[in-house]
Formats: sequence, C-alpha cells, structure tokens
Amino acid sequence: MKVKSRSSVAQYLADSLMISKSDKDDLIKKTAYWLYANKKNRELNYLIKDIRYFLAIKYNYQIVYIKSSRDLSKNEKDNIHNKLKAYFNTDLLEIIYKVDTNLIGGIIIESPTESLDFSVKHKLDNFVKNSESF
Amino acid sequence: MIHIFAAQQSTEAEATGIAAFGLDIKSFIFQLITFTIVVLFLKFFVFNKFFKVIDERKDEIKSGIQNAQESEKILLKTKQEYKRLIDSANNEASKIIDEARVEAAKILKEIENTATKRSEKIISEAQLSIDSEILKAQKELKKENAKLVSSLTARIIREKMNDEIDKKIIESALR
Repeated sequence: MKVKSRSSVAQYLADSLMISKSDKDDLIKKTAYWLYANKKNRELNYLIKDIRYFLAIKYNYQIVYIKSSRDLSKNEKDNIHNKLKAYFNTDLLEIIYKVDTNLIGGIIIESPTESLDFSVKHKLDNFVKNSESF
Repeated sequence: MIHIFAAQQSTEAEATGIAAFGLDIKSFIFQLITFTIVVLFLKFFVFNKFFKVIDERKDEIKSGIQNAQESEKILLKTKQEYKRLIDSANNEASKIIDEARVEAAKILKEIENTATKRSEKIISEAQLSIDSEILKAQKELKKENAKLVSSLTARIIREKMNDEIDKKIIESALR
C-alpha cells in the first residue's frame, strides 16, 4: 500500500474541514493514527502548517498567529481583527494570540503565506545587523 | 850489450865508405831486424791487445756518452712532458677553480634569492595574518559593541515601554 504524502493528507484534511464538515474529533483521531502508523509523529507541526496553507490558498480561510509583548485589550484585538479581515479580504479569519515578552513591544503577524514582524526586538536586531556591516 | 858490440865493430870499420860516417851495416841490419822483431812482437802481443782494450774502452765511453745523451734527451723530453702536464694540470685546475667560483657564486645568488623570496613571503603572510586578525578583532569589537548597544537600548526601551507606547506602535504597524 502506497503511503500518502504529508501534503496530500493535509489537503484531504483541509477539504474535509471545509467541504464535508467532518467530525473534528474523528479527523483528529485519523490524523493521529496516520502519523503513528507512518512514524511521522515529528511532522505534526509541519502537517498543521500545510493544512493552514491549503485552507488559506484554496478557501481563503486564514489562521493567523499574532505575537505581542503583552496581553492585548479587546479593543486592540477587534481592531487587529478588522484590519486583517480587510487585508486578506475574507470573513474566514481565525486569530491565535500569543504573548512573548522578548518582543519588548509591537506585534508579529504570521499568516500561512507571509510573516510581518513589527516588533521592537526585530528593529533592534536590524540595527545590530546594520551596525555590523559598517 | 848490442850497443857495445856495435860500437866495437864501428870502430873497426872506421876507415872506408859508409864506415866513414860511423855506420856499421851489419850492425845496422842486425839492429833493424831486432827492432822489427821487437816491433812485430809488440804489435801482435802488446799493441793489438792494448788498442783492443783502448777501442773497447773508447766504444764503452762512446756508448756511455750516447747513453748519457739519450738519457739527457729523455730527461729533457720528460721535463718537457712534466712541464706540459704541470701546465695542463694548472690550466685544468684554474679552469675547475674558475668554474667552481662561478658555480658557487651562482648557488650563493640562488640561495640569496630563495631566502629573500622566502622572507618576503613570510613577511607578506605575517602582514596578511596581522591584517586579517585586526579586521577580525575590529569586526568582533563592532559586533560586541552593537550587541552591547542593542542590549542597553533594549533595557532602556523596556524601562520606558508602557501600554500606551506599545499601543501606538501596534496601531502604526497596522496602518
């Protein structure tokens, strides 16, 4: 029996979620079995990334990670939500917020297709890099 | 005795002919024969041997002289050959010495050139190494300096950072 590639499994899962609206628990179980059977446990993160990618490309379903140095207020979150909806031109938007104090300030927006770093840490890192090249 | 006898006879013949000159023919002939016998005796038994010895001696001397002359010629020739060989050897030696000098000078020059090149290379490599080390140190210093500045800046910004400022930064990013 031919082992299915991670990409094809991700595509199947994306389709299952969006079209057939399969039971999520059942899909998770199937995915876990596939990973275990094919000894691909370590590829879980890549599989999730691939699913996000197919959802974004095929259905414009955006799952976006937002990293900030502090917990954002509801107003800020709403503002970000609205801005990103407009930016990606979609109502299918899911935002996952994370706090990383190393950022000092600002935010990082990670969509399946692009990553935008507006953090203070990133600016400082750029400053260090530029000063090294002088 | 013969003389006495002859003198006696000459005194007796004093009166006529040759006798008037005091010459006694008989005595004269007798003396002549005697003399001839003596001469022949001497010739055959003394002079021949004597002359033979003389001739042999003469031949020996002549041979000795010839040998000496030959030896002298050989000696001269040997001397000339010796001189020629010595001259040739001297020339050869001079030639070898000259060639050795030229070769030694050449080798010395090559050694000098090699040593010069090697020392230049060592100096050049050392200089390059020093330059490289300086550049590396400068780079490291810059890096450390930038890290330090970054770290200090980060600390200052952290101290100065508050929700309002952060909010402004986020709003600015979302524009």
